[in-house]
Amino acid sequence: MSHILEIKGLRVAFHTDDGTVHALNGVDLELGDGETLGLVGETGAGKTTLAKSVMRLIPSPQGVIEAGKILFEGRDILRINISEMRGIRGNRISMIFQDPMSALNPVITIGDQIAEVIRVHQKVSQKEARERALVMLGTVGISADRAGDYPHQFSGGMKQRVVIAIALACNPTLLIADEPTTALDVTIQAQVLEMMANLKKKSGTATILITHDLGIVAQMCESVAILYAGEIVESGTVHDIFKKTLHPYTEGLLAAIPKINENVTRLQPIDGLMPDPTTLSEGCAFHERCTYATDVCRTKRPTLEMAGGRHKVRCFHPIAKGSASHGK
Amino acid sequence: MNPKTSPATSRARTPFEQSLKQFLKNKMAVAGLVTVLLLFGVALATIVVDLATDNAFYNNHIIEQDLMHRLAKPSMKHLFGCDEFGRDLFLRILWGTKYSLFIGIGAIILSLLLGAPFGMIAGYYGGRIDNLIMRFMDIILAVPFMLLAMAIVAALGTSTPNLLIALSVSGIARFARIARASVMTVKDNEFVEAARAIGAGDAEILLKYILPNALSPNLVQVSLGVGNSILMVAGLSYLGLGVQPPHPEWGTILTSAKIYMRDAWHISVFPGAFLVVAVIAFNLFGDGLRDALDPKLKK
Repeated sequence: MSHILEIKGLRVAFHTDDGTVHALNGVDLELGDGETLGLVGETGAGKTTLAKSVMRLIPSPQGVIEAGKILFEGRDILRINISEMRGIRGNRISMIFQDPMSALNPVITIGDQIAEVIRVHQKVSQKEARERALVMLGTVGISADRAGDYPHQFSGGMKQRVVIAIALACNPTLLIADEPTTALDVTIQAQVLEMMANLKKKSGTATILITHDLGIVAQMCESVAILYAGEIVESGTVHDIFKKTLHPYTEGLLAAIPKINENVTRLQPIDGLMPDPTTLSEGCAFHERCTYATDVCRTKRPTLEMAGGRHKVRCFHPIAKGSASHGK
Repeated sequence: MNPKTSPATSRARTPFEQSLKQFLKNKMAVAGLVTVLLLFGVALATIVVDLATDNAFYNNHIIEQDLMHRLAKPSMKHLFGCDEFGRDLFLRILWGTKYSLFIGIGAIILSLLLGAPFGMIAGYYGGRIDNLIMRFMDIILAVPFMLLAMAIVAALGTSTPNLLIALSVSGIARFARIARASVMTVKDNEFVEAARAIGAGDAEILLKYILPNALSPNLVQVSLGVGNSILMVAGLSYLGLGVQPPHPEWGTILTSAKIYMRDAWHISVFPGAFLVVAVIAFNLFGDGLRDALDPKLKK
C-alpha cells in the first residue's frame, strides 16, 4: 500500500506567556491510500494540533513547527510556499471542523459557501460552481432548494452535513475530520457517520478521524494511532489495538469503556492527569499514571518499536500478547 | 418552530428582521429616524428646486439682498424673520440643510472608507503592521479633532471639498480603532479558520468572511458620528473655515448673527435650533441602531 501521508518526527511547540507548550514531541504516522485512520487521545494530547499541522494552520507566531516532515503524496508540505499550500487546502486536503455551529460564515448562504470552495480551486464560472454546489448538497442529503438559506436556518446535524459537503466538494485525496460528531447528539452522530462512511466508500478518500470515542474508531477505521502527551504511544490496525493491546495507556482507555454485558457500578478511570505540556519530564510521558512503571520508565524515554506487522508501541514493558483481556 | 419543517413555512427570522423589530420598538430612535428623513426630504427638495429653476429661485430669494426688510422680526410673511441683509431666514435655513447633511454625512463616510481598511489590516495581521498603523492613528488622535480639521483647512484653503477632506481625515483614527477591534473579535471564529482550510486567500477572508461580520459596530459609529460631524461643519463654517457667505450654511448664518444678537435674536435662535434638532435626531437614531445591532442587548 502506498502512503498518501507520512509524518516523520513532527515537533510542534507553542510559545506563550506562561512558557513553551510542547504540543507534539516527535510524531510519526503513516496513512495509506484510501485508508481511514483513527486518531485517539484525551483532551490536550495534541490531536487537533496534529491536524492543523497537516493543514499548515498552526496559529503563528505563537505556534512553531520545530522539526519533522509531513510528506503528502511524497512532497514535504512544510517546505512549500504558502500560495501553493493554499492550492492544496480544501482541494487535495480538506478538514471537517469540530463545531458545525461556528464553522460556517453566518452571513453567506450555504449554497454560496459550498460554491466558494469550488470557485477558489477550479476555474469554473459562477454558475457552474453553483450547480456543482447543489449536487454536493444532494450528496449529503440536503434538498437543493435550501441552498439559499443561511446557516442559522439549519440544525446542527444539517450544518455538519454542509461542512462535510464543503470539505468533499473538490474531491480531496485526504480528509481530516476533527471530532466531526462531538458537537452532535447520538442519533445525528450515527447518521453523519453513516453518511461519511458511504461517501468514503464511493470516493476512496483517505481519512484521518480524530475522536475520543473508541466506539467510532472500531466502527469506522482500519487503523488506529493512540496519542498521549504529544507522542504516538501505540499504533496499528484496529485489530492490533483492540485485540492485542500492548501499551498500558491503551489498556486503560479500553478498560474505561463501560461494558454492556457486565453489571458495573463504577467506571474505571485512568488515575491522574496528563503531564503538564509546558514541562517535559524525563522518562516515559505516561510513567506517573502507569501501574507497570519501573525505574527505567522514570529515567529513559522509550522509542516507538515495531511489534509485528504494522503494530508499533512506545513502551519498555508492553503488555504480553494475549494477556490483555478486553473485548471490543 | 413549526413542527412541519417544510422550509418555506418555518423559516427562522433573519438577523436583519430581528434587528429591524428591535429598532422599531425603540420609540425615540424611530422619532430620530423620522426627523432625519424629514431633513433629507428638505435637503432634496431644495436641490430639486434649484435644478428646476436653474438657480433662479436661489439667487432671487436666498442670495439677493433686500435691505428694506433688514433684521425684520418673525411675521406671517417671514416666518423666522429676516437676516441683516433682509433675506428670508426660513428659506435660508431650509437651503442650508443640504450643507450640514451632505457634508456631515459625506465626511463620516469618507472617514469610514479611509479609516476602516487600515484598522482591518491592523487587526487581521497584528504584530508589527498593527503597531505601525495604530501608532500613527494614535498620533492623529492626540491632536484635538477641531484643531486638526482647522489646520488642514488652513493648509489647503477654504472650500467645500477641502472641508470634507479636513473632517474625514480627522475622523480616520476612530474608525481604524473600531474596525481593528471588531476584526480582532471576528477573526478568531472557527469559520475564519474553516475559510483558511478551504484555501481562501487573505483578501478573500477579509472581504467575504470578516468584513460582513465586523460591519455593525462601524455602522453604528457612522450614525453616531454624523451628529458630531454636522456640528463640526457648522463649527468650521462659524470660524470662517467652512462654507463661505453668502451661502446659507447654518454655522455661517450664526457667525453673522452674533453681532445682532441683542437686536435680532431670531437670526441666532432659529439656525441654532435646527442644528440642535438635527444633531439630536442623528444621535437618537444612532443609539437605536446600536441597541438593535448589539446582540448583548437583545431581549
